[in-house]
Amino acid sequence: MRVKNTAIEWETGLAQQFDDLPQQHEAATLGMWVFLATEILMFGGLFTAFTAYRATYPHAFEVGSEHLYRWIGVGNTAVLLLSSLFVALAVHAIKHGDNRACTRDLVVAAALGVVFLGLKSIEYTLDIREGLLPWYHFHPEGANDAATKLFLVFYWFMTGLHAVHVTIGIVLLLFFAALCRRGEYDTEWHNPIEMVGLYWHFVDIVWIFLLPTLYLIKPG
Amino acid sequence: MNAVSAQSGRRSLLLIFWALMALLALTTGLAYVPMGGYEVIPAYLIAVVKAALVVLFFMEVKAASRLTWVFVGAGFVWLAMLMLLTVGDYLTRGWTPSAEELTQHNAPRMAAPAPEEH
Repeated sequence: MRVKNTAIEWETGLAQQFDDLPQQHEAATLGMWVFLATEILMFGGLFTAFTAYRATYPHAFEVGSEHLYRWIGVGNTAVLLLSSLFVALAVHAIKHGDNRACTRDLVVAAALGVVFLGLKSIEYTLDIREGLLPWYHFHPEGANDAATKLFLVFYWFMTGLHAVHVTIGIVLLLFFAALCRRGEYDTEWHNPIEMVGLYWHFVDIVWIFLLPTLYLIKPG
Repeated sequence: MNAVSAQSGRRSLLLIFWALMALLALTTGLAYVPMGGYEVIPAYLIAVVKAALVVLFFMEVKAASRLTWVFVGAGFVWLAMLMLLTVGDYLTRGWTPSAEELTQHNAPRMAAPAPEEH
């Protein structure tokens, strides 16, 4: 036993208030989903407002969407889906007691998160050069009306808030990869890996909906 | 844990991943097909299917307890209410006359006409 602690049995990961690990696992899962429900409603508010304004200004939102780089949006979706796969593989690996595979898969998932942010930065740079940032030298080609600006405000806020989540996710993935490498988790005790996995998959789901919302509006 | 179940578990995760990639290709392809304003329907249907695959298999909700299903469902049910009521409001605003139109229409009736005198 490494540490004697009255609150947590470090060797098994079982906290004092639980009878056993399955009960603790259930509590952690439910708590995580309560947090994710608040996240669903936070992003949901943005998606709802977007839909309401899109119904009001359908043409301006199509014009706004035409300015975006569809291939970067689609490519980034593939990157996040692949990274979600690696997180799922990491959880699978630790359940079968494979610490090395778990650590590796978490690091790969985090690296793919960095690739996502890299592509997003390139896109943001191109967007700013084309005058698509509503607060800085705003001069999009073609229609330059208030409703197109509104679309772009949504674009920056929604993708920006998502990017903040990706950044937090990368830090969490690497943190738990380090703990996993130190041998903190095993077949029995690996709640933190599963919980960070739930968070990362949620971030992936938000992007799954951002793709048709922002990038796939206008046919052709 | 035995190696066979480890292998099959990994295989099903890969299968889900390829299904997600196929759906991504499909939704991207459909974005180039004009559907007269109805493009959003297949686009969002595919997004919902992709999200469901991630929730059920990557987030392992399929194998989770009933209570977990309730917690997962709660988030999405509240979101559905938020969206349906808000979007329902915006989409049906033109269906009934506005308060202004109503008052204009009723104005002559509300002001009682002066009785004709002979």
